[in-house]
Amino acid sequence: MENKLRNEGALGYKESAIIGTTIFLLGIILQIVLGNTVEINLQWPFNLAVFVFHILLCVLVFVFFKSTKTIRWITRVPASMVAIVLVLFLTMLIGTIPQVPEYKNSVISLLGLNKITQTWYFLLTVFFFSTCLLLVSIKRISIGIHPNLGFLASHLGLYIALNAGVFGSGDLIRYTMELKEKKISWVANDANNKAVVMPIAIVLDDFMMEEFAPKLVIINQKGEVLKEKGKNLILVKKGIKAALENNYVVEVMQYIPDAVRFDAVYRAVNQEGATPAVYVKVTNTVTRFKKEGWLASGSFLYDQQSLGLDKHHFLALTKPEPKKFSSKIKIFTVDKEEYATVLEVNKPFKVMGWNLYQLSYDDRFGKYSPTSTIELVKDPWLPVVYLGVFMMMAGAVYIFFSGNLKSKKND
Amino acid sequence: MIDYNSFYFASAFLWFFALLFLLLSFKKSEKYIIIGLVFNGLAILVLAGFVVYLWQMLNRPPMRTLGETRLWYALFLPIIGTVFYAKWKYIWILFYTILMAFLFLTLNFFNPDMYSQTLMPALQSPWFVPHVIVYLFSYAALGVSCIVAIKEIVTPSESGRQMADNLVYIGTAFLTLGLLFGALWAKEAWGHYWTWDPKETWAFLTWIGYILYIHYRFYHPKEDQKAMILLACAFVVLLVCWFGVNYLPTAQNSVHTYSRA
Repeated sequence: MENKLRNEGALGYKESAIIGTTIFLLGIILQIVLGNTVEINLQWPFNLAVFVFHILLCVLVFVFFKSTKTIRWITRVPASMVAIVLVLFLTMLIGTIPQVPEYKNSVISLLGLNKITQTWYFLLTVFFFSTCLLLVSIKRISIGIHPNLGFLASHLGLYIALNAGVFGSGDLIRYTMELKEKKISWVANDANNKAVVMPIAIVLDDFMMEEFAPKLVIINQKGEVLKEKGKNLILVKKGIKAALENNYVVEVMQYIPDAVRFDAVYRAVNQEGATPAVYVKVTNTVTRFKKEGWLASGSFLYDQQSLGLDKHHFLALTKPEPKKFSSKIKIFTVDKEEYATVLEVNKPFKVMGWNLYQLSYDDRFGKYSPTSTIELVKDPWLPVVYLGVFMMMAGAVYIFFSGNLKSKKND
Repeated sequence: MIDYNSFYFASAFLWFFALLFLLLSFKKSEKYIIIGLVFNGLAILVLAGFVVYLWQMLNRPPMRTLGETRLWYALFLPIIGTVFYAKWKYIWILFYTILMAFLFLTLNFFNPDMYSQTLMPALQSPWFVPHVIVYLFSYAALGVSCIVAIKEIVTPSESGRQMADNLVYIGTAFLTLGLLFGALWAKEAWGHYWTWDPKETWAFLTWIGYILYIHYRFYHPKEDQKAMILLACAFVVLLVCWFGVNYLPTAQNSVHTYSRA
């Protein structure tokens, strides 16, 4: 019975493959004739209209035509498999060909292979894929929601996340804003560096950075770090003894995180541009070489100081790596509201529908950077995307348990 | 100073005895299996202890470099092997997982990391640990499913295929969670949940590969051989995602390339 249902009147793999190929070729032709799809970036409320229209159309088509060959075909696995393979194929191209704005190779740019997500064949494939997803979901709903909860969580969840992402991209706004310490900013830049006036103004009170301690390394004349595998890259600390490459042992006698050189000696200062410095004793366990002296990482104001070991090698102190950077800001909205917060990587702040992210700083100055760049993102469709994501998570949990159930039943 | 080699040697030593007793069990009584399992359990404990020790020493989750991910893989494989042995009673799954763990430790031994305590700010997130652990657990389950598939291609059996499905369901569930955790984290860290970063793209491809297998199995429960070939191939995509992405022309600007120092 099951087999009969599967084969009778429904199109099989051969037909599915032909239809899949046709969709793809149609996309290629449209791509060559019309170029990229950027121009049809749908925005509110048109994206919502098309989204709802797609859902209504699929429901109506299913209700009135569910016994036709085409609908039976598209709600069966062969069609899904073709859709999955098409997505697989395109994703593989995206993952292999660098996706860059400009490409010299004319064939690649003619077919849009350097911007696949903006091509017609990508659009048609996503359309086919999500139509399959929606129709199989509707079919399961018509059979009964309760026994198909796991199926619906994963399939409908993917449909919602995917389409909210695709349609929502028209309403997604990403701007950057460069903040200067103690100055007020309300003009941001879009992706093309065009100025945009924001409904919020931001004052950067302070840009703060914590750094890891610098590391001891041996470099050659070209400044390249000798990296022998399996050795520990040790963050300096007063009193530690570290074994480095070529049998050198370094003992850190003094460590000053913020130092300035006075004649031959480094002293702790509280001043912009100060550099980390250490006083070390170096010995070589094989050659009996012995030396001591100062090392400094260097900063935008002061030079790096290293210690000569032999003709070709020097002991040096690396520039400290950032551990944490953040911007202490005040925000003023057009609605006369005021907020004070600290923006940090991984800790965005939400105001007036905008998410503010700590993006970067002027790395020439490191922790003394006088500016801080933040990103402002508005993504009104995010809750819908997350609805889909959480449904998919529920679907994954279901698969985990149902997979076990299935195999237990077979035991 | 982090002395990882003594941990490696201890685990390898214990696993050697585990393998020895498992081999003996073929000739002598089945009691030897229990002894083998005890040695295997001890080896897993030693390695788990090492992961905890490394975590403490580095002052950050040991999940940043490729070698560190191999360490987790070497830990998860024998755990999955033991659980699946308990359920399906295939001794060879123990051999396979122990030997693979052995191999991964050997890779780390001859190709050790530069152990560095620094961790870039973007990785300092509550999502870091669940994202990586869920992924590596999934990779381990799917790695076992690959060898089961190859074994099934050579000597087909009903229970072997069921075990393969079992592993794929567990692995794919975790793979899905890893992918989605990554998306939620990316939103917090970079302002967007999906940016077609090469690693993301290949992770999605891996996911699609196993989704394809599940659909094929569902619709063609009798086409075992083809399904098993598909399953073995899906793991190749996974390996590209894990190791291979760094070598692809698209990798230059990935945020996911494991740092080398």
